[in-house]
Amino acid sequence: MSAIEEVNGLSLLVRHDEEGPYLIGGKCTSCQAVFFPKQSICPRCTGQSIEETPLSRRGKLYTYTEVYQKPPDYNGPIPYLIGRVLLPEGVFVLAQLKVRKEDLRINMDVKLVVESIYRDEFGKEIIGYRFIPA
Amino acid sequence: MRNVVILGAAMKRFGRYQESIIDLGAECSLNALKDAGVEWKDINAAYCSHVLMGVTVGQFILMPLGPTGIPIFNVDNGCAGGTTAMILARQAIGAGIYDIVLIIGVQKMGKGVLGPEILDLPETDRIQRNMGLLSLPSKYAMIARRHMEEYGTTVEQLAQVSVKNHKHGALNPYSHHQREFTLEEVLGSRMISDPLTLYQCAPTGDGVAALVLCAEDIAQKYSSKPKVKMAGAALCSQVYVPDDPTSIHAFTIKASREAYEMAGCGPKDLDVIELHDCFSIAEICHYENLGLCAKGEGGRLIDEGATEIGGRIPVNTSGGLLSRGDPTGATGVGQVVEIVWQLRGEARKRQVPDAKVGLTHNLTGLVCSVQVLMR
Repeated sequence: MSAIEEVNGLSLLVRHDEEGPYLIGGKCTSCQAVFFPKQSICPRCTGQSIEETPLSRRGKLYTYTEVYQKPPDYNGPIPYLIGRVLLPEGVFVLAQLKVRKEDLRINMDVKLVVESIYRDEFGKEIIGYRFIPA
Repeated sequence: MRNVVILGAAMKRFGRYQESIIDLGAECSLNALKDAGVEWKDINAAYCSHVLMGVTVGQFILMPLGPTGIPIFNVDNGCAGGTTAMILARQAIGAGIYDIVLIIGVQKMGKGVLGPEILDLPETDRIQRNMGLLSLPSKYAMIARRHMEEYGTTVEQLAQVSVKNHKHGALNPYSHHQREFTLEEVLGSRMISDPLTLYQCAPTGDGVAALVLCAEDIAQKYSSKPKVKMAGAALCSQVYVPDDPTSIHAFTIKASREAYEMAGCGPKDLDVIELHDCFSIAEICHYENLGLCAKGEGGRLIDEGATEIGGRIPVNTSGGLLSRGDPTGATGVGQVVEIVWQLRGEARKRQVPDAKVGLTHNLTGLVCSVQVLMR
């Protein structure tokens, strides 16, 4: 894990192993619900015994949009693509997409990458996760 | 439980105002009292809906009417705050705690996309915000894209929702936009989050709206106008539905079924509806969620003109959020004001003939309220 991801806070959401980055899910040890981002209380059964579980790197694109108006706290280029990706665990992940527009299809196979998204107004690099065609 | 009726209603045109929210709110409150035939000293309690408008803003608004010592509750439940306040007041009147209550919804807003509603966000939210993942237009745009994929809904059907609501709003002197837009104008306006263009996003702005609620058994001594009964009312927060990430459906379905059951009616009994069309796609989805049509058939309802004034079930006769505006804390109260006017036969050019049963649907990110109102 690079130092820059620590600065960014991204290490709360992303971890790396020998095969590359993966998203950190939460799994309730009582009811087995899996969710993202990981939180300390299970959203299904309020159980507080939550373990970390690595989420699949590949999923299917459930829906997407191209954003033209900057939302608050985003200082990168516009327009940009975001989407919801359905992972095999049944978890939906909201993420940036890096796909050519003409290739965008709902249900297309996508995979996770972690990379620089933009530099903020102070020149700090914002590292984020994206899905690209698998 | 005693029955509760709406005795008085007032609002100011939603838009942009120089005057302070204190002055606007006090004036609107007095107008609602006059409409109800009630004096300020008759009011037992007041509920003020607002979003982040300041500490005890309800007290600041109502003190100029006279410090009578009544309880004033400030209610912040996002864009659903206005109807949340009504539901609280209905419970209190129903339980016999108060007889007559003032509801006021107030808001002044900046321009642009709404900011974070909770200021001290967890770190994981901040990271997602920095990546540009969390905004309302993009959330609804993704709902739209999925609806198009699953049910064949078209960009023209989405835009037609805005055309229809602006057509209604052009007849409403209380509407923010108060002008018609052609399909070409809606589709050709600036892209906000594909496929949603600017005129498919409700305008932010300033607004005040007020209501007087009263126990039915004493209402007649104040006003001879038709009384609008709060026949059914339900407030739901988000429901855990792992396979519904878009999350505007489940709590709308739940709240509407609860409200229908309480009122002893169903979607077929409704004459007029104000629903939460913060974005064009929301209206299509909520036709389905409220049970006006089957899942996936919302676009067809628009094509058939069923939800226009003169259609089978007119929706958003006020112009809806898309035309009337969405000044968050005042939005829900404004919806109810329109239904009150419709059920009293006071809606002028946009009157639905002989409307007897109305519905309001009011939501915010994690809250949904549905009310059935009857003459």
